[in-house]
Amino acid sequence: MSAADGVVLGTTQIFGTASRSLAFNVVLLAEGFTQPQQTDFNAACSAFVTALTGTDPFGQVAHGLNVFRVNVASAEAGADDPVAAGGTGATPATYFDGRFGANGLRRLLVCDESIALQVALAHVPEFSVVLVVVNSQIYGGSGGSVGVYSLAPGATEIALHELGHTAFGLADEYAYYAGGVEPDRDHHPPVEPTEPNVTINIDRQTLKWNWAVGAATPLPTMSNNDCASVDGRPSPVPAGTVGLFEGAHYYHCAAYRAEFDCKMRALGVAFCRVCQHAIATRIAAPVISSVPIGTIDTPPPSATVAGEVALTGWAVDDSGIADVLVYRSSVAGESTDATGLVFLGTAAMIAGARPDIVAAFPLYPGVSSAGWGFMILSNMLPNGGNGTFTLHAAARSLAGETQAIGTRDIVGANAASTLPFGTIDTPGQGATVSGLVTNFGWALTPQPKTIPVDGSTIDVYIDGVMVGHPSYNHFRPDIAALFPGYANSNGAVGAYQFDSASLSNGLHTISWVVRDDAGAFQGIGSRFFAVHN
Amino acid sequence: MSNEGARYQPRPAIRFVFEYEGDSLRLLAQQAVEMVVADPRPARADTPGYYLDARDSEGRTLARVAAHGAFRQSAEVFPERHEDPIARIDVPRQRGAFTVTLPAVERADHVTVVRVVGSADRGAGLERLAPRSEDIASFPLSPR
Repeated sequence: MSAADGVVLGTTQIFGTASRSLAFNVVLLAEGFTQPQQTDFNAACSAFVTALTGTDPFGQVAHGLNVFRVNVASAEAGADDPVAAGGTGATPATYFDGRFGANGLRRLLVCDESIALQVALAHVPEFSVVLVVVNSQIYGGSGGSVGVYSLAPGATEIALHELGHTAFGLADEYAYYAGGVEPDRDHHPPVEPTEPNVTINIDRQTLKWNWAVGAATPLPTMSNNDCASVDGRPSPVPAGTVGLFEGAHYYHCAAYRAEFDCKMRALGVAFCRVCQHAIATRIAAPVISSVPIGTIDTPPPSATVAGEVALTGWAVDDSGIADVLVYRSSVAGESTDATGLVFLGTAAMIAGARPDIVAAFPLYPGVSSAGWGFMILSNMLPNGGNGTFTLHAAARSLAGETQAIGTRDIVGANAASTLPFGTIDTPGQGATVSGLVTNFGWALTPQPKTIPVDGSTIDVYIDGVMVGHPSYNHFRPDIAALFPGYANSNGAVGAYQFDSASLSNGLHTISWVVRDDAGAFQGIGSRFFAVHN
Repeated sequence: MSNEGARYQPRPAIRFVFEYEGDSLRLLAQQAVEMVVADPRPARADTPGYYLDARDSEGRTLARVAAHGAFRQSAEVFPERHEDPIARIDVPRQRGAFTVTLPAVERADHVTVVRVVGSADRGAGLERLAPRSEDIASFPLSPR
């Protein structure tokens, strides 16, 4: 059971066209596939590429990704499966000595890392990560210097998690070590982890992923009330919210992860936004794409929405981005433009809003304005904003190319919503202001509730700090006509004045939180604006 | 931004493959490559862990990169049902391999695998002690 038990047949690049010296190079090695079974290995590699590029952000940065398969014929098929670990007792002669049952755990599937690394070095010396694909339907895998996984359904998830460690330096986000009662895992040591996706720091200004935290998101976002155990409660905030969730890096308390869920915490879920950023940075930074690339970041897929929805994302191109166009799919009988879609508008490109993209794509012109945002008042979508709508974003480059960069389904539920809704009109998304600024917006709440007309229950937040209440109960004919029959239809508008000189020059955020007389509250209008005095 | 961009440029480098069992360490291979060597976990040189130093003939350190995966002491165990938790187990018998890519350095004569023992390893009350480096093993560089 060693390299004497087979032969390396050859190497084939199965994905990507980027220069090897620049690209992120994944090498897949065949283990326990006999010569006639090489087609099975080839199929497994294709399935891996599909899984990889279907996992965010790998598909978005595919231009920086190469995948190679190294066909290796083993003398016999499968992997060792010791009886002592509950296996069959099989001991096939295979090239990389793949074996289940390491440390007495059948699903801990390992191989000879030395042989695997040397084969990868010989065939793709620029490899970024090596994965050994084991010809067995028994579930198993492991990580380390070499990732190992079997053909069992779902085992590619092991490979993706291990990529997070080996190639991208991501930490485990689960809040325990082995599980069970672990009194030594109550509190994380007071040492900041070097990995990008876990922290002990709860300061908003210095948090290493503060670029991803919304101004209205509380920090910590979720605290563990019992440090003697793992917090088993559900998330208090919508999926996709980036904040500080206590319990990470093998400790119940005093260490935080960025989102409630992430593939570095559990298999079968997406990488969180912070991990996606780390991955995209490593893959995409060296390689320039010749067509616009980007994505939609918010709202989360299939999010149920009411009132205002912030569609946000980023886009970059080797010539620079001219603009990002936002569309929605049409409904029956509705006219469309040449794209076959209904044009909604042009997103605002926001300088300084996405330092993560600047870090991930440092070589792209205009990357400092890669972030874009577009506010949609879902009440104004067809059928009063009730039902499923598909939003589309397309980026236009300065060189004239237009490229679709994402679609996002949202489920409008305005009929069932009991929450206030509305928007901020000024400052516009990404607008530059100076001197005295009047911040206009409007808000309504479903009948029979009302919003107190003195504006005392509308809070204006600048940079996450509540700064005051607007003067409310002002009439605007278009709002009154669009939304008749609400208690505040004839006085929906509010105005708040502030001196921008009290803020530093640069990017800031503003939002309203509206509370009605029944205590229901909703944030509206959250956006960036720039001060230039 | 320009510095960040430079960090991701390919450069001449040497890739090493090491094998370990217990405290014993062997260099299995070293090969010149040209590739991006940006470390996703750029640790300070005093962060506890293992590193590979490029040193000159007089033992002066010319470059240091982290040796991720060296002397691993635990392994992850993955659930078949994805809703079940992942867990870690200690690996009592250390055996494995790791690879390190070191930017090519003028005047480098040999490489040394180093273990940095930091304050976090030393227990409560001694946190202010300076990190300490221990040389594990040195290997000559092949002529290029």
